[in-house]
Amino acid sequence: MIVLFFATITIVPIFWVFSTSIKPMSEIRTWPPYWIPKHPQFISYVRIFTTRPFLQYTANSVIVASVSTAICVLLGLFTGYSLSRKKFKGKTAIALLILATRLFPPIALISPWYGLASKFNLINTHLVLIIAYIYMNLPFVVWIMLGFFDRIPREIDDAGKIDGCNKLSLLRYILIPLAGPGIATASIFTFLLSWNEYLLAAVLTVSPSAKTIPVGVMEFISDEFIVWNQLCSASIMASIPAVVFVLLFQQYIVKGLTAGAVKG
Amino acid sequence: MTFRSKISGFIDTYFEVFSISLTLAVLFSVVFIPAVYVIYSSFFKKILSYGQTEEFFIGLSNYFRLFSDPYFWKFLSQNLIYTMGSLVVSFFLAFACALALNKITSFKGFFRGIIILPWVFPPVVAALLWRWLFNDSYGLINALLRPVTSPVLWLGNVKIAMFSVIITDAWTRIPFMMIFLLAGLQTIPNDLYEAAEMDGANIFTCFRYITLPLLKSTIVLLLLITSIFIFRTYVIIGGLTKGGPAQATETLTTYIFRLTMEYWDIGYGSALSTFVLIFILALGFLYLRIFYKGEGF
Repeated sequence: MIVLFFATITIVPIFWVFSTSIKPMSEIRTWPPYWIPKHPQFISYVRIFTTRPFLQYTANSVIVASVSTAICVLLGLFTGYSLSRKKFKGKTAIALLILATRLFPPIALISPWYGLASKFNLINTHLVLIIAYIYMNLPFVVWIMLGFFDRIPREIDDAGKIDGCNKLSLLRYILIPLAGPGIATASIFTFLLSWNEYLLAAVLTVSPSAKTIPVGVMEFISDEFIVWNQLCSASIMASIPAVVFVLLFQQYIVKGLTAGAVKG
Repeated sequence: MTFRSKISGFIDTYFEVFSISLTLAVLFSVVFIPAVYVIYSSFFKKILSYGQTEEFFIGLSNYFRLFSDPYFWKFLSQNLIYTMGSLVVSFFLAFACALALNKITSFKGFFRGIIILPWVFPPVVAALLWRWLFNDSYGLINALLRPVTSPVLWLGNVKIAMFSVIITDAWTRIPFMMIFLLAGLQTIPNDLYEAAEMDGANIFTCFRYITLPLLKSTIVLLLLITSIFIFRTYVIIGGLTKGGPAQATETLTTYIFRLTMEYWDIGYGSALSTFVLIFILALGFLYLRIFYKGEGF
């Protein structure tokens, strides 16, 4: 019963947005509103691409999210491995320091970021967003990978070394396949969080050539007259990766949520 | 020794040092340098003229101005109300949901999948989605309440707007808290409950004397980390009300955004940013201490 209640309060708002996205404007302004549109139409989905630069926004989001995910996961993988295997003084302190950076409030850092980015002429580029999202996700990825490598017995490393592996081939042929689920979790998280991020994208981009989808969705609000069906179509578009990931990789998302406890 | 094996030996020796330093360097340059810079800027007055920034060192003046600014105190208390409100609402709902989900056996994955959706949705979409639900003339919530009340200005009424913002925020927090609590619940061995039932305990005594004490550290950790996340959130309020009506939902985060990105009052905005930075890091320090103990390093 309780579970059904929660499923309902999740699904109804999402359904309502979808329903609005396929309504003509006249049906949006009916009172009381219909649950299911009388004349469903998909024209709003076309309009956001023809009257607004959503194609460009989508391309930007794809580029920024995938490049930052690739770099972040690779670097996080190496660092997680190193922190797990190498014994040295202050290791715990370094691991906690990396985790602590995730707790810094991004809102308090927007003005120096804007200042630094304009100093290096990086405002309104893909690069600056990629850097920002690497920062946002790297601590989390390091912690996930550290957790996974700690669970792989060291004897496997030793066996590999006896067979003549150096560290890179050890990682490449033995450890990465074993840490596969960890890598999947880290990649899904990094991609989703980069795709969904709004604040930094809003501060660091100014024109359609670098703006991402969340910024594009928010732009509807500053219109004099909010076109709700197009706004809802854009929202549905923006949420597609999230829904796909939940459908396909729910296990990994659940694992990641509990593994790191470091999401903003 | 061949060249090839020399390279491989070199990589083997310095691999760890290199990757850890690279990560630290990245985080250092995007977090610590800006943090120091924000503290530094808070001692200056910055004036933007003809594209040039002029700086004047003014010592602690920005901080005196901050602590005598009535808006600062108003927005700080609103920020705390927002944080506590959303924390309490989402925690109790998430706990109920986790307990229920822990009990059911069929369709568990299906329901869990649906319930985590609000967490994976872009926060911008969550904010705008609720803005549309709360819409006073065509929104779904007013339509559903039609038999009970005349249309309510959910986001336009000074007294109700904060409530609406809290509901929206809590909606996005429930999945994370629910999964976290569910993971905690699953670590409690079933024999404990069976033994208690033999001794005649009912559901409520089981909950009170087994579930709660065993989950205590999980709950403390969860409440701390989530309050940090809620306190520093910008996008939910930014998308719903932008601080309005009549600044009834304005918090320190929206105030920072306004000061630095709209008024370009960088010095004063930096003083406020420094305050938020220190406040959050103090909470974060507490979190790491408990986390560190709990992990048993």
